[in-house]
Amino acid sequence: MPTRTIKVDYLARVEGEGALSLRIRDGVVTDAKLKIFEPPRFFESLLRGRAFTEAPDVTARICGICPVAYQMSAVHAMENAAGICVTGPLRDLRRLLYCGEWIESHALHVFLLHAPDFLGFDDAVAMARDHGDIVKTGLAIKKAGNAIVSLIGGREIHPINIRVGGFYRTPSKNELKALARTLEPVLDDVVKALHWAQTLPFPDYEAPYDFVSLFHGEEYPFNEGRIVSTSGLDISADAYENHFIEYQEPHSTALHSLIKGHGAYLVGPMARFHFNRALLTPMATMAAKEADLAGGCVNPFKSILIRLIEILFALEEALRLIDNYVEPESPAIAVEPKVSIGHSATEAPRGLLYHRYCLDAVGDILEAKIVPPTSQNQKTIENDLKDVAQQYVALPDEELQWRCEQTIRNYDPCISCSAHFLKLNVERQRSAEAPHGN
Amino acid sequence: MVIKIIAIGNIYRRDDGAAILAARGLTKHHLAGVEILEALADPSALFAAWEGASAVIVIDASAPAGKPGQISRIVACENTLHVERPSASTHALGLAKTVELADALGQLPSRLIIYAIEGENFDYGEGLSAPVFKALNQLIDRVRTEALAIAEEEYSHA
Repeated sequence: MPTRTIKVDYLARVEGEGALSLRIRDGVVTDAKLKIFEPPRFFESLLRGRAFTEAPDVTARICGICPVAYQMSAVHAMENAAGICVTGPLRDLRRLLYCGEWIESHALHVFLLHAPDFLGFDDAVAMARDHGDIVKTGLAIKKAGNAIVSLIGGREIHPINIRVGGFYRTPSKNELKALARTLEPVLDDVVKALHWAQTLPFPDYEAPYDFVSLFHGEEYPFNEGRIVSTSGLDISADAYENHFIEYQEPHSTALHSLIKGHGAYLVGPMARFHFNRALLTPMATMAAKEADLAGGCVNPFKSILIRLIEILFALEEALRLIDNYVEPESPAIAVEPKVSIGHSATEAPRGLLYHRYCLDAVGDILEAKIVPPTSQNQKTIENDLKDVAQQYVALPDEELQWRCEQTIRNYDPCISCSAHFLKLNVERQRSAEAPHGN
Repeated sequence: MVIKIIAIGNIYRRDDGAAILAARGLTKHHLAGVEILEALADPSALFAAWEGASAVIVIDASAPAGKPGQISRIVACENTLHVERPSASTHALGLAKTVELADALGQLPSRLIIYAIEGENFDYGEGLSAPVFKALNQLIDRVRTEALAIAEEEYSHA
């Protein structure tokens, strides 16, 4: 039997360019690699010599779908360096802004990128012909998130209203009340979408993940909290580099990450949900129970449900924040730089996003370090690929390829953030054949 | 009856900004009954932009194909937009996929006309290439003429 090779020019519905190769010998998956070959983007170097005030606008350009996450990690790290803490309405507005980003990012992934996998469609356009109502619902939900980001951030993509110490402009109570009126009807849309999503065919696959996320204790985390892991880690952001190591693999331009002494780990909605589900808002808590996820979830294919639960949470949280909003006296507090190092970890839609900056006396950046969620998840994605491919190895190549692509999309990977194109190469061999290819 | 002109592009990527510059040029003509907008080539942004419009003209820059500055007029409901290679980005689906999605969802405006100006240079930075710059006034003139004709037609039927 000759070697069987499947090639896909690129995997659609992920952000960025990468490739996957699977090696199967005598029915055993011996290797699975997520190859990321998008060129390095040098953002950490670009930041050197820049003023500390420029970091939120420069880092926002790392990603078009989660710029808020980069801005939030940047401003919190700078404020950490300056020894200040933003509280009150400005803190609440930052949570509100993050709600908007989670809603738009999760809605894009759930309805336009991930749902077609479960229903056997090549893309959302094909899905829309048979499931128009659910795609319309998804777009309406995404629009709600866009509205939040647009109002608080100044525009939908790459917001321009975020600064170290707060904002350039804060909204009036009336502006937020008008926003709330557009958000309220969307709650029902999300509940209906959750009921629909529960009917999707979920592959029977579970894995013993080492989850890593922020844990605040009093609120579902966005910008604050300790970094905790299933394997027992409980640290502040400034200790991140003592416990997490980045290393290079030849097949990836994005650095891989491990927890020292433990190994691969998982960040993102499943990890957040694992540690923080008791802090969800009422409707989101009820939705988790109805989805039979109140006890947690270790099936990555069900991450689509958790993203929907987080959308529901973010909407409820946004409405609560708007209801309690009191216009601040000033849009920002003063931040005086000093020779210092600042750290921050916040929860991007795809998971923990770590920033560290070394500043000089006038606040110029001497060194920057940014660890995005997708690069942290790379090793776990490869582990999942190997296990899922093994579980479904008897499938014909085309079906196996589909399941592997779906496995990658469980993570909503943003390859552009981590370092575009995903080529899939499945190589099947018998022991008498010499390995070749990738 | 609302007639909208929607421009798509990025003025910081050379010829990709041609539609935006055309829209800003059109604004100076104060076209009665015509709303001029800038939008992202993304479903939620474009659907929101053309919501409530009876007729929409979208202006965008098209990929180089050997005739920089050439202006094409496409009636969206009569033609399929060709995508040479799907975008590797999920951040914005692009105009062709957005129109296809709108068609599948029954959300296409009753009249959607696309003006595409072929670009030459999509590098970083401001400023159009010479052939696109030369064609810009012609683009403005053609879109203005068509918008006014649609407006006259629609208001005469009102």
